[in-house]
Amino acid sequence: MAVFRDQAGMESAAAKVAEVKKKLPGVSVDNKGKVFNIDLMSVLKLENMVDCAEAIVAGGLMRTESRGAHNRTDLTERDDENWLKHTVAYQTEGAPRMDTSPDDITRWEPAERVY
Amino acid sequence: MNITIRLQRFDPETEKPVDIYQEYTIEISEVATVFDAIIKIREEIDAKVAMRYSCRSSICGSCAIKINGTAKLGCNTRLIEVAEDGGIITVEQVGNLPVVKDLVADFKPFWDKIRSVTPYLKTDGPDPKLERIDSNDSMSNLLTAVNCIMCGCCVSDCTVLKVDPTFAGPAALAKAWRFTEDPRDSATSERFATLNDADGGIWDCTRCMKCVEVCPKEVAPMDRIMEIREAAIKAGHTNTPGYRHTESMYNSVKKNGQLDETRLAIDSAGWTNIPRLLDLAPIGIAAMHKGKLPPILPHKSEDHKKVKELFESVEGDAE
Repeated sequence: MAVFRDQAGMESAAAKVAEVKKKLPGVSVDNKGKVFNIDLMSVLKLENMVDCAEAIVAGGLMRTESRGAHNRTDLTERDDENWLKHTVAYQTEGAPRMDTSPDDITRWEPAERVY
Repeated sequence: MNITIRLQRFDPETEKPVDIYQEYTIEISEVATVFDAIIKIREEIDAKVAMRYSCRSSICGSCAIKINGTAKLGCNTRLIEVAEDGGIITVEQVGNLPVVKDLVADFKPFWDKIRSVTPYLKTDGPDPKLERIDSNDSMSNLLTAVNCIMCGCCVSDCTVLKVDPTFAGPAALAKAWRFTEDPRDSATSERFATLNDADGGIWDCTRCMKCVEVCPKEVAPMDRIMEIREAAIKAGHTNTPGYRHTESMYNSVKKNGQLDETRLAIDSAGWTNIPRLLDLAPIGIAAMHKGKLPPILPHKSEDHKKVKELFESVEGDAE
C-alpha cells in the first residue's frame, strides 16, 4: 500500500495479506536463546506487521474518497460530508472489524491541501 | 568480492560465557557495507549472531560496532573501505560498555550519563504562548551537538573512560554543551558548577581527539568539552584542579620557557588542599627513588626570553 491506491490494487493487497496471515502459524524460531534473540523479535514484529497491514488495507478500502496520504486514483475527490472522521479498526479473531469515530476538531480546522 | 568477517562472539547463556572470535567467509558485492555482510552471515550461515540495528542509513545510531579496532557505524562503512578483496575484517562490540550478546552492548551506563547532565531546557518565568523562540544564529550554533545520534562511537573509543569509568564521557558532555550554549536556558551557572566537578567532569578529558575522529556525525565532542571549559572559566567557575592546572602551565611556560612539573602538581591540587597534597607525597617519593623527581626549583630554558616574547606578541601586549 503506497500513497496512490485504487480499488483493484487494494483488493489484491488484501488477498496478499490474507495469504501471508494464513502462513503465520507455520512460522517457527530455531534460535531458542533468551537473550537478544533477533529471530524471535523478527517473528513478533512479523505478526504485528500483518495485523497493521490488515487494518491499513481494510481502512483504505472502506474510505471511498481521497485524503492526504490516502490518495485514491479512482476516487480523487475529498469528501468531508461522509468522511471527516477517524478510521477505527478493532482486532477480532478473524478480519478486523472496521468502524469510524467522530473527528475531534480543536485548534486547527482541517482544510484541503492546495499548492 | 570475497571477504572474511572475524566476528567477536559472546553468549551469556552458555555455561561459561567466553569471548571468542568466529570467522565467516562470504561472497558479497564490493559496494556492500559491513552491516550488509553481518546480515548476510545471519541469513545464510549463523542466525544466532546478535546485532542491534534499525534504519540502515546512519540516522538511528543503533549499529555502532568496532571495525578493525575503531568504532564505526556498520551501516555507513563499506567493506572496500576497510579491507581488500579476500581480506579479513575484525568486527567487535563497542568498547567501554558491558556486553549483552555478540555485538550488542548494554547502553544503560551511556544513557545514565546522558541523563546526568540534565539534557533538557530549564527556564524561568511563565510558559510562553506558543514556543520559546531564539535567533536562527543561536540555534544553528547548536547544530553540531544536535546532530548527535547517540550511537556511542565516541564513548566506545574514549581513552579516558577506559581507565576512569566515572568520566561523564564525550557524548554526555557534548549534550551538556548543547544546553550551556542555549541562550534560552536559565540554569547555565548550575550546569557549569556540576560539569566542573573534579570527579568525572569536563576537566577529565585528556584531549586525545579519539571522539572527534570516530564520530560519524561531526559532533566533535572534544571541541564541545573545550568550549564548556572556556565558558565555565569566563563565567567565573575557576576553583577547580583543571583550571589551576591550565593556569599553572601557562605561568610556568611563560616564566621559565619550560614546564615546572613540581609546581604544576602542587598548583593543580591547590596550595591549601592538604589531603590532596598528602596524596601527592608518595608519588613524589616513588619518583625520587626512580630518579624521576622533577627539580624542586624550576630550571629556566635557554630560550626562555624568546618564549616570553612569543607569549607577549600573541597576547598583543608586546611593545
